[in-house]
Formats: sequence, structure tokens, C-alpha cells
Amino acid sequence: MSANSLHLILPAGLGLVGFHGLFFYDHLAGKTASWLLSQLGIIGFLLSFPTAAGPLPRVLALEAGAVGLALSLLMGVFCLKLWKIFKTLQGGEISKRVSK
Amino acid sequence: MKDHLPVLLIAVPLAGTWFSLFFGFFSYRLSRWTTYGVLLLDFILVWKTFPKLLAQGPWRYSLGGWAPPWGIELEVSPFSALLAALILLLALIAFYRLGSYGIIAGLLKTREILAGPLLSTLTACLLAVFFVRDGFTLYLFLQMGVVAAAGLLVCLARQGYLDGFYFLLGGSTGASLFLAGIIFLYGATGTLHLDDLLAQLFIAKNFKLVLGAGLLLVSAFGFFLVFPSPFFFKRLLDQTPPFMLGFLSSVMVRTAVFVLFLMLFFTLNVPGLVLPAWLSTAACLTPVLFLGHFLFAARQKDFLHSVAFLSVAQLGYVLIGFILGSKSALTGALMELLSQMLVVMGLFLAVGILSLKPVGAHPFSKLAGVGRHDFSAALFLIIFISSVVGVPPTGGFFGKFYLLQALVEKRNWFLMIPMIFVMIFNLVPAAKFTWLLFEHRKAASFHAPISFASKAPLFLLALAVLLLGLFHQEIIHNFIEPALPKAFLDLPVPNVPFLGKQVE
Repeated sequence: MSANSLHLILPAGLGLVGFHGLFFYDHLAGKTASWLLSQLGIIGFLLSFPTAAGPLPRVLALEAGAVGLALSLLMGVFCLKLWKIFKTLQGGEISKRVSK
Repeated sequence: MKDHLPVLLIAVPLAGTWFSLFFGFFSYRLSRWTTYGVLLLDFILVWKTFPKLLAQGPWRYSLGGWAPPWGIELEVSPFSALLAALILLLALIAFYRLGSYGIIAGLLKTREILAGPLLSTLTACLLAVFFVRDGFTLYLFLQMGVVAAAGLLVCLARQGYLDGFYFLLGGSTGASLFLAGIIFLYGATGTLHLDDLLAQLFIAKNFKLVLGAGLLLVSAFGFFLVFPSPFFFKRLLDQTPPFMLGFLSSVMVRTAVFVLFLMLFFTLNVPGLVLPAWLSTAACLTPVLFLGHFLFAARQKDFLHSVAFLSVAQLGYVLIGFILGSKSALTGALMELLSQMLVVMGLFLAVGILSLKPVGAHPFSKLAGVGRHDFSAALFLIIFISSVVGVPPTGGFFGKFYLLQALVEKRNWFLMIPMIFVMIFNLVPAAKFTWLLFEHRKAASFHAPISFASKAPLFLLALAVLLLGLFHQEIIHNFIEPALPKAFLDLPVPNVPFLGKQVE
């Protein structure tokens, strides 16, 4: 591994931890947080581009960040609504009750 | 005005969303008619692009005159315009069914008002996905489409928050993987433009990079491809109105498949790229897994679940075309794509129309003898099933015919055997289904008369399936062939040396 690729470890780690959490957490808030982490990984990857690449990567990071934030808020609203109805955010538990 | 048609195709439904939402605060009817008007206006605008597209080929349009990567470039091709027209037709049908569903299911007027703008947003996003030529904008519209679809599920499904959440999460994960793949390519090539990416990848000749990005981009579509398989979406199926399931699985899923086609054959199709053995094996197994859903569809006792399995299973044909990658194979795959959009929507609509309940179980036993009470409804169902099975002269027959031709040309026995097996196997459930429709059984069967207004969308879709088959030569010549990669076009001199016939 070259020194140049070291700065990619953090975004790659965030992305991997995020994607792992998406599939293995049952808690909906955990899933939302994992999704946010995976977005941070993508944004981190864009920010790690050298400045010689021009301002485009930073603009893309800004846009991806805005979309990620908006979606996380939306997922948060969904979680809040589900919490109000079911008093839990465990996906399996809610699923059982909804299917009845 | 005519010069700006490409951008208007996206701007009209997006702007109409706000009008429809605004009018919804004052009048339910006004909001509803606004949505109708917007979708109809967009359909007319798409229609107006056809003369120029058929005469001059793809129409390139730079938004605000800015060149990529800062500007957004749109490209309307004859095939993407045809898909856009189909999507708008299906959106109009879905919105029409929304009205009657609202009455039957006792849907709150506020939810119904909100569903209209969400439907036009989803339609606009899917149209944009067809036309935009840079990876990041494609991601943005894909993501917006997922949000609008999740919103529709929340509005229309019973206790839809959980399913809406999972749909949003799954769809967004897919869109994020797509973004990751695009950024990966951008990092290596310095471009986001889909056409430019192929040129840069060819110059770099970095096949490992292409494979890595390809894996990310292909896995991005996993969520969309399995929608609405009862293995993963059972609860969603039981709680969502069939017309909306039909709209999402015919339009959203097939749009994702079209984007996959663009990615595989216009961005990652670098000459000289050889897939490793493990990837080739996995790629060949994927369509077989999808075709396997036909066996599950035949085993179902619930009409809705059977149609959901059929929707997923049919994607196997399209994927076979992508794997073979020859001219006949891609022609067959795109023909199948067109036919499947109509058939899947038609079958889901039929589930809703032939059922007394807005959501829930739809047992096959209730369909016994439908043909004796309403011959036309049964006939439409038979046309849809015939297209799934591949009976001439439906659109589905010609798609499968070209795919079989490609399999024979390539001598790919591994894919030919399952495809022929499935085509023969499908004859049995199709015959049983036809028998059921005309069975003389009185108890526990469906007897309620079906109004002409309910059947009209089915009639339109069945007619379109037949027209697709009857005019298949014109459709292939005018729409499908120009959408194929340049190597398959009859160009006298290739305009880009490495994309021309010499290399191929």
C-alpha cells in the first residue's frame, strides 16, 4: 500500500461499516445511522481528491452531503412516526405487529 | 419552444407537481385535473419529439448552453422517447386507478391529493434518468425517484410507514452504490459524462478498474431487480394497492434495467475487456435464478403473488440478452423490456380490477368462470399471459424469438436449456389459467360486473401488447436498432475509431 492510498482508509472504512450496519442492524435508527455513515464514506472519498482535480469534487461532495442529510432527516421522520405508533424501533417487532 | 423540448419533458411534470400540490390546498378536483393535465401535456410533448428523432436520430441538448461537467447534457434517443411515452401512459393509467382506489379503500383525501404530485415527481425523475448523460445527475434523479416512490407507498399502503422506510433505505442504498461506482470511475478518469467515460476507460485500458466499477454499478440495481418478489416484499404486496405495485414494478424496475443496459454497453463496454471465470459464471447463473421465479409463480394460489413472481421472473429474459450482448440478443432484450412494461402493469391492474377488496389476498379460485361473465376481461388476461409465455403475435413472442436466435448463434447451451425449459413449462400454467377463466363453477367465484371504465386501461394495454408484436419490424428498425451500441449500427464510417466495426 502506498502512502497516497492511506488517506482513503477512513472513507473506505466508513463506507464498509455503514453498509455492514445497513444489513445487520434490526433497529431502524441503527440502520439510518449506518446509512449516514456510508454517505460520509462517499463524501470523504470525494474530499480526498487532490486539489489539482479542480473544484468539482468538492461541489459533488457538497451535493452528496446535502442529499444524504435530507434523506437521513426523512428516515428520521419515518422512525419518529413508527416510534409514535409502535413504541419501538425494532424492525422485526414492528413487522410482526403490522402483519397481524 | 420546439428547440427546448428535451428539457421541457422533464421540467413540465416537475413544475406541475408544485401546481398540483398548491391547488390541492383549495380543491381536490382541481389538484387531480392538474395532475392529469401535466401528464397529458408531457405525453404530447414526447409525441412532438418523434418526427425529429426519427428523421435525424438522437437529440442532444445542453441545459443553459453549458457544456458538461458543470452543465447538464440531455440526450433523447428514439428508444428513450418511446420508453418515456410508455411511462407517461402508464402514469396516466395509475393515476386514473388511484381515483377509484381512493373511493373503494376510503383513502383520506389529503393522502390522495399528495399522491398525485408524488406520482408526477416519480414520472419526471424516471424520464430524466432516461435522458441525462452524466453520472452524478443520473444518481440525483434516481435518488429523487426512490424518495417519491417511498412517499407513494406511505400515502397508499395500509400502515405503510415501515414498508416506506425499507423501500427508501433499500432504494437509497442502491442509489448510493451507483454513486460510489460513478465516483470510482470519476476518480480514475476525471469525467462524469457517460459517453466520455468509455473513451477515457479505453485510453487508460485499466480493466481491473472497469471490473471494480462495474461490480458497484451492477450491484446498485440489485434492490430494483428483485422488486416486488414475495420472498422480500410479502408484507408490502399484501398492503399496497395492485395498481401501484404494477406501476412501480413495470416502470421503476424496468427503468433501472434500462440504466443497467446503458451502463453495461455504453460506459463499461471497453473493447478487449475479458471477464474472469468466476464473474462469467456468476453472470450466467443470475438469469437462471430469475427464470426460476416462473416455477414459484406457477405454485402460487394467490393471483397477486403469482403476478409478482412473474414480474421478477421475466427479467431473466432481459438479463440473458445482456449477457449474450450480440445484436439479436440486445434487440430481443429491448423488445422484451417494452413488452414487459405493458404486461406487468396489465397483470397487476387486472388483479385490482378483478378483486372485490382493495388490498389483501386475491385467491385464484375467485377467478373461476370470469370469462363466462365477462369475456373481454378474460381475453385481456389471456393476451397478457400469452405475451409472458411467448405466443405470437404478442410483443413477448418477438422478444423471446430474437433471444433464442442469439442463443443459437452463440451456441450458449447453458442459457438455452433453462430458457427453453421455462418457455415449455409456462405453457402448462397458462393453459390451466385459461381453463380456470372459462371454468363452469358457481361457488366462490367472481360474479360482480366489471364496468367499462375499469376495463378501459386493460384494453389499452392489451392492444399495445398486440400492436408491439404486429408492428415489431417498424419498432425494431426505428426505435430499437438506433439504441444499440455503435458496433451494431450500419454506419459507413465509424465516427470514433475504437468504437467502430474494425475493433469489433
